[in-house]
Amino acid sequence: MQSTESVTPPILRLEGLRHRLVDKAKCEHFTVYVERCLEFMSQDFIGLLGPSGCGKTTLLTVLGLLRSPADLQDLKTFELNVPDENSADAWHNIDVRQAWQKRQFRLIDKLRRQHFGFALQSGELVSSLTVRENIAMPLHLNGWKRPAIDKRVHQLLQQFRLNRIRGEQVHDDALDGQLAGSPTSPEPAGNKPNALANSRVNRLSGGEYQRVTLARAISHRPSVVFVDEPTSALNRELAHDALSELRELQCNRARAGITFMITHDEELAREFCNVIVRMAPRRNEPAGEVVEVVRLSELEPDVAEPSRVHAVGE
Amino acid sequence: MSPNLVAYTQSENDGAMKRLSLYSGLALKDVLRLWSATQIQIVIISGICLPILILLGLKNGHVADLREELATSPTGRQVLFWSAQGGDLLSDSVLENIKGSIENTDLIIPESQRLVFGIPKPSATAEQNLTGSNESSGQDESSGQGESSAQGEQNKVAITLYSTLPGDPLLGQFGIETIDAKTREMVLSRSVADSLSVKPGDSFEVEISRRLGSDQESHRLSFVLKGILPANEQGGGQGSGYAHLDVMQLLERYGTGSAVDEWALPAMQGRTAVDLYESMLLFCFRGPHSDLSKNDREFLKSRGLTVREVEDPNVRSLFGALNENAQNELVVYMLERIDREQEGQTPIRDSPQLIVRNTEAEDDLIVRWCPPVKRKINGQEHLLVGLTLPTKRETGGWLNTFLREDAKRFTYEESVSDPFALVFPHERPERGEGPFSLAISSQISVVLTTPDSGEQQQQDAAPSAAAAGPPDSLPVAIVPVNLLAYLHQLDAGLVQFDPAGKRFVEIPSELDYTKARLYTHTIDDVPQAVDWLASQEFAVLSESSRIAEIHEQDRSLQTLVFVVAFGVFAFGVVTVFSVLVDSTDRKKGTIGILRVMGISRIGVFTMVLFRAFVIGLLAAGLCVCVGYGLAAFLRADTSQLGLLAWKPVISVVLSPTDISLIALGALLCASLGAVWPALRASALDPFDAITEGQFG
Repeated sequence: MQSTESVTPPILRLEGLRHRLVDKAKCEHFTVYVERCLEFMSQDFIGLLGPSGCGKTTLLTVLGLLRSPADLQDLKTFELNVPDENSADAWHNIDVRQAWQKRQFRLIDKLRRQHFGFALQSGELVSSLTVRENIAMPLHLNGWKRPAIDKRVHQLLQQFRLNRIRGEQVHDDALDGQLAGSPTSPEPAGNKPNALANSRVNRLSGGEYQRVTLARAISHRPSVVFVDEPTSALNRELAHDALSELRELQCNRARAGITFMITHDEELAREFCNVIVRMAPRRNEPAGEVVEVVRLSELEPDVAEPSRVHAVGE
Repeated sequence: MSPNLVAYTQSENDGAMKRLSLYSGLALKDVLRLWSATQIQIVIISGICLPILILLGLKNGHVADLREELATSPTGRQVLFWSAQGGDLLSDSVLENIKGSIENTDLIIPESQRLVFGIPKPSATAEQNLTGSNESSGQDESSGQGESSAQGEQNKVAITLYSTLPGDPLLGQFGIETIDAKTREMVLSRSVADSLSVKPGDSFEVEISRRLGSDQESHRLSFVLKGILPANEQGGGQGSGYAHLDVMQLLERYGTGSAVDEWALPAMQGRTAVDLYESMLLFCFRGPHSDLSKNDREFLKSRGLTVREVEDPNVRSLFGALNENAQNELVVYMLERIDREQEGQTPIRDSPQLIVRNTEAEDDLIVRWCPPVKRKINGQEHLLVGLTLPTKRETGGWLNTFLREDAKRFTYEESVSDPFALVFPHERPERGEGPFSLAISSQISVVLTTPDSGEQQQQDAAPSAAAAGPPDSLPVAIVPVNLLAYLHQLDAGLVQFDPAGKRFVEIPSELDYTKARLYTHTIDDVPQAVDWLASQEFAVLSESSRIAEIHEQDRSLQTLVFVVAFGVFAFGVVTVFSVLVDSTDRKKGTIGILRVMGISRIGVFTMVLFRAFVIGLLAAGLCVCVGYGLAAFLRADTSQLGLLAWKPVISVVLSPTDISLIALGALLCASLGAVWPALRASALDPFDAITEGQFG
């Protein structure tokens, strides 16, 4: 019987990047080099490591379609493959290099809106919105319907433990039951007026703020998630919990997504990442480059192969 | 196996409209939830627009009221003009012509003034005291009244009376719109009213007086107080009053000594009309030296007199007064004016003495003559003949030698002392002694005096040819020639009969004024009135230069309002711009993450602009609400509220147009001020916006 499983293309591929930044005010410049091919497959949790000033964030801005590569002629490959919403086994292949060359900014914005999520160092939740509204923002931007939004937000509130009443810890089984198919359920605690979910973000603790940021980053189920210094606002334990949740939600077999994490913490990177991209400053010039790409041990045997995952080239 | 790759397409309407509503919702939430920051911006924009709104309200209210008040003020609309330069005397017809020639003329009031005296009412206290003292002393009230009258006499209040007409703006500004002539209404200044102890509606006495030569007389009339002019106001000066023009005309007539029938006031004693004669009879002896010479005729012609010999035997004989010798020895000439002066009468101005002295004819004699007239005496038509012969002192008196013994005539002294005398040359005693009523006119009759009846019977006892008279002619009655002259003048409409004084007086001529005050509809009509009057050679006095100043100030004010509004608006845009730039800078991170999440540049632009629009809308609402409140406060009369008693009442009118303008201005101010910040926000590099330019 012929197998119906399709091969999973790399979610993101980049080769030949030479991105130069110029600060006219300071008359300074900095260049990031990616000379080897970076290819990231579905469910990869990539750690971007390196000392300060080696270009990690700059590389993130290019990978995250936040900035156009400076020298498009030198860029060999920059591709993105995202799942087709209408087909179980189809993928959309986007030549990002061409999109930048043709200045297809609307396409770029759309790609970023639909397939990318960001949990940056400063977080930058929208201060005029509540926790719920911040998390729902990407869903609204992508045209989700209201019931689906409510359901997804509730799910994330629960998963990131953001559904408590302020001052209380409430375990909300109601929607769990709903998710599992039980017929009726009492009003979720997260809907109560004094629930954390209905609080404005300026009332959140540092850990809550970071968790909301992470929840927002993955709320619309993006293919690529960028996390920048997750431990900056959290202690190690809280960061560990948040990243575990993130990995569970983003890199499970049902999702065809990857996660980039910029960090200085080697231990954290080794704990969560299966791919390490190491950057280092270049000698004799203000530049940074990717010096090493290490794919760590294979996925744990208890993590089942997602239907879309196949070895490249098979 | 290779992956199943399909092309990635981007639909055109990729939920764009939905995202647009999302952007608007985000902007609205930003406005409402970040209220502490938003309210400051709303207050700033509202505060920028509010002065303009109030300024417009002041322009529509206070300034418009001032202008309206000025435009319709009596002083502003008044034009004083005189006939001094070369303008016509201001008779009724001339005034009518002026009013018809100048557009938008409300009223023309000829200026007339007269000094009268108000008689104060005795005070109630004074009356009580007088009555009490009279009772205790046993005096009757009349002596008490005499005392109070004497007091009133001493305290007579001088009133300078001016003419007015109903609708006089000068009085209208104090609520006095009408004034009646028949009831003799008068408006007085406060000081006069207080002195007279009268209030509106009260009657009070006014003494009027007139003087002719050494003769003086006074009368008292009752007037009704119509209104009081406030103190220290225009027209409310000391001792002044206003009466209807008709009343002033009657006072003027009274002052000339004429009778005022409307007030039952007789003409002044001695104010008798002058008797005028259109012809004279010149008697001279026949002969070369006695008759009129050629030179005499030339002289008479030079005096404007025609000379013709009288052929009528009645006239020659003075209706039987002269004997037959007079017919033979005397020549009788009729002297009359060559040129007719005017319709009605052409009197001879020269005196008989002047003519006689200058003729070469010896012993010529002139008798004033009027053609006989028909009048009824006791109902029977008679022919009145005027026979007054000069005295010896006047002309030598030689004509008396030619008089019949029974001739009935009057002497000069008799005529002057009593012109209303009568003798009958042909009457029979059966006619009776009288009284004889002469019908001067169809409405007026007067009883004539007659000489002693016994003398008349004796005279009538000897019938004569003269006494018989022509059998088919009217019966003749002889009256003094001056009575006949008056009757001629009466028929000519030059005199009227004064029954009270039993004399003929001149008919008062129509009063002509030399000065008048004209009121135009508004001050804008004054210049053209001034121009017209000046073109008619009237001297003119008006506020036209001041009015030109007001127009100039009005234009300046409009320009000022425009400049201030423009300046404030421009300043507002700059302020909003700087506030929103600052606000956008503060929201860089939020804008950055929204861009990172995929909101397009247009989306960011829309959000910033919409947010500013909402702020502008709220600012407009706040501005209008505060504006209404402030306008109401300024309009309110707080004079009774202690702490706010200082506040004047200022009219501020906010029209819907101005409110719409200001609301639009607030929206425009906010929107324009937000354009550059919105463009700047949309152009932010997403990552730079988050990291503020840091790279690593």
